[in-house]
Amino acid sequence: MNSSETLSQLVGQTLTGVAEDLSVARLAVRDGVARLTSNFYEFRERLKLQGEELHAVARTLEGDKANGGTGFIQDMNGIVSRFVEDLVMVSASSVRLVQRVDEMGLDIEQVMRNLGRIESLASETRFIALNARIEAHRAGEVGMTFRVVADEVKSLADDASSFSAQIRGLVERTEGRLFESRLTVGKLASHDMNGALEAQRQVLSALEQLGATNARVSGSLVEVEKQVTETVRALQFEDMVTQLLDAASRRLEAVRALWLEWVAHAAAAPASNPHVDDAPTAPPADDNPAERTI
Amino acid sequence: MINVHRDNDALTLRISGKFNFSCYKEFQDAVAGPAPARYVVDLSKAEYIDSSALGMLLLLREKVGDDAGRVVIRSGAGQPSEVLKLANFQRLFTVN
Repeated sequence: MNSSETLSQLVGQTLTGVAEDLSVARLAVRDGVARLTSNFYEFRERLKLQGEELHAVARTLEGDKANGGTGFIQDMNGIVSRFVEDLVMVSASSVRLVQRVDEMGLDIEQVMRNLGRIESLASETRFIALNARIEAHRAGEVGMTFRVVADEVKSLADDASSFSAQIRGLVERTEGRLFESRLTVGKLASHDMNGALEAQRQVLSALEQLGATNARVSGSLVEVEKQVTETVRALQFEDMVTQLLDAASRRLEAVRALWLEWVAHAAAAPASNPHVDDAPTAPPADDNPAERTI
Repeated sequence: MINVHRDNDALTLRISGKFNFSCYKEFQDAVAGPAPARYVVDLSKAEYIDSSALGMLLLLREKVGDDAGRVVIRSGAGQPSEVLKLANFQRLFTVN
């Protein structure tokens, strides 16, 4: 009687415990899967945001092509182009200035030639004045007036020579300054273009790299989103597990009901069953095969 | 160095080595005088050009009344060709 009751209690407790465990497991699975699913959804949302931010950065750099906008890189390219355009204009103007300076140089040569002619005229005049003075001297008293005129002519010739020398000095100084200007303007005209070429190359390569990176990032974002969606779909195993656990609970409940029925039946047995009468205090456990099959 | 060749309607300037301001005098002398029907500036043997070369070409274009068809540039390859492209000279000259 004592061991039978203990066994009965033990089985009853075990069945109840298993039922409780199943219910806890069911809740744990449902809860865990719900949390995993929501985490994955959040993960996907954050990835999407990250992707949008990356695209925004790319748009700033690359420009919104669809709307005909220009981005930072295109602007940089424009700056390089404008810089080159200005550089070429400065060079063309400088070369034109050099042309003008060379023309001025030709004019100066002409001025110098004319000065040479003035100087030789002055020296001829001086020579004539000298001859006139000699002739005047030879004429004596009669030539006095003529001598004064000859001296005056000589003095004019000397003035012409001196002016001519002054002009020559000024023109030579101007020629020197002109030559210096020509050198300076020549330098102004001459700029190496390789720096601009390199700048343009870098801008274009940055644009190309950005395009490739953008495409790569977009590609992997699409891939990750697909995987998250697939993972979330895979998490739907929760339904199946819950159903299985529900089925197990139902089956357990049926077993428990059977067991209670059996216990009730065994308790009523001593009165109706002669076979059990012999040993009423030591019922099923070891010798009742029906108990073992349950 | 500039090699000048004149035929019926064209004056060809074949420029070799560096085309920069040191060629200015030679270039000016070569293009001086009445303009032919067209100038051909052959840069296929040039190794390097700078902005003053571009300036000289622009002034040559001015000389023929900014008529892009009357100044033909043979750009060849390498740095001279890249610089001509960078300066958008295909818009202003006949570049081939």
